[in-house]
Amino acid sequence: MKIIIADDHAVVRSGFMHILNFQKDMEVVATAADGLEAYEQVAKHRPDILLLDLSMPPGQSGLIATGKIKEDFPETKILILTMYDDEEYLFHVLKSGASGYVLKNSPDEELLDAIRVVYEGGTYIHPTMATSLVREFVKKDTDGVETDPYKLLSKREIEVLPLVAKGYGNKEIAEMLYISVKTVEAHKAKIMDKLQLKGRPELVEYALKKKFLNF
Amino acid sequence: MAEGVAFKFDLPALRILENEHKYLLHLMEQWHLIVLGFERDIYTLEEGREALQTLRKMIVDFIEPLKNHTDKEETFLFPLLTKYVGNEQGPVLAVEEEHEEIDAYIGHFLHHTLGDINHLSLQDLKDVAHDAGEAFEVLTVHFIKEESIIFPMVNNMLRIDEQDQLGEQLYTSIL
Repeated sequence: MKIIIADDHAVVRSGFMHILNFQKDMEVVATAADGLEAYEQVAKHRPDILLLDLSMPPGQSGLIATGKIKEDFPETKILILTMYDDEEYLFHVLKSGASGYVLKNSPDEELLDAIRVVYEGGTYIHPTMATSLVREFVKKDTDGVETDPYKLLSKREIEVLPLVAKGYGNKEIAEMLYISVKTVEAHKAKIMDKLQLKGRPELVEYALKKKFLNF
Repeated sequence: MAEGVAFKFDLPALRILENEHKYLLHLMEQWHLIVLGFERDIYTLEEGREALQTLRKMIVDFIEPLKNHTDKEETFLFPLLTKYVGNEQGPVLAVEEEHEEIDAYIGHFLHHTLGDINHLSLQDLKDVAHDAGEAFEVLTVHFIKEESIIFPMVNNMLRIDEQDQLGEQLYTSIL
């Protein structure tokens, strides 16, 4: 099976590349250092599996890349590789179309098992997180107030939010997302309005709280 | 970022060795940055001592996968090739000698960084790091030589059953 590894740490890319290439049924065809690069490499190589890190500062995060890649290349299965056993990440990446979620500190064998499960069409969730996932599915909305940014905001707004919080200017964001500056301004205004935020400090605080920023 | 990902060889035995070279080269690039730091005089005495300790740790971590790799070559690959080209002279002997040269540079570096290095001057630190730099140079050229001369011999000279057997023998992890 053809695999692409996307991680901002060269040591992780190299280590995993060595382990995966050692497997008789796996071949790493490319690596990438952020979400945008991952998208480009997937477009070029059309791999069976994309092993995608969630947090790849300063480039585009895996969270955003997952949705875009699944939309344009649904045949590529995405396995999220992360440091965080955080249920918010888990839910959002699964909703974005990822097929699995593995922690970086998992033993090699678990990573290999996860890749094979996902390749065969299954879903792999790190065992410690399965409970959280089940809990999310059965839990009732008690207060009726929607706070999930993924439900409040559009896909494009979800992309713009972390970039604004990171301090990128309208022009830079426009260039990154291939949209006009006016469109960026409109998205920013809608984000502030929908989240009822008053300024950038509040937006940064919100982005940190909701884990849109990883430093 | 796709550089260095594609394999030159299709034969399983050679893929295993090439994959190991890629991994070892990556590790080398990490510790070589410190060597370059000494060559470019970027460290103060205190920073240099700390950098040398880090370099030592990285090289100690590097030795095990390197030894596992060279042991496999010396145990399985080279004897198979010397059946055809002899071991008195020629490319196999040359790369075997390079293994010894690499061991010597690394051994020399480890010997001089053993124990307390706080008595070493900045020039002493640079001299010691130079051994690691030499090991890096020899290793880099050695890998190129193996991939351009030795590995093609496996493709061109060995019988298919020998290539298969070699693939089975080499299929162990160096980690």
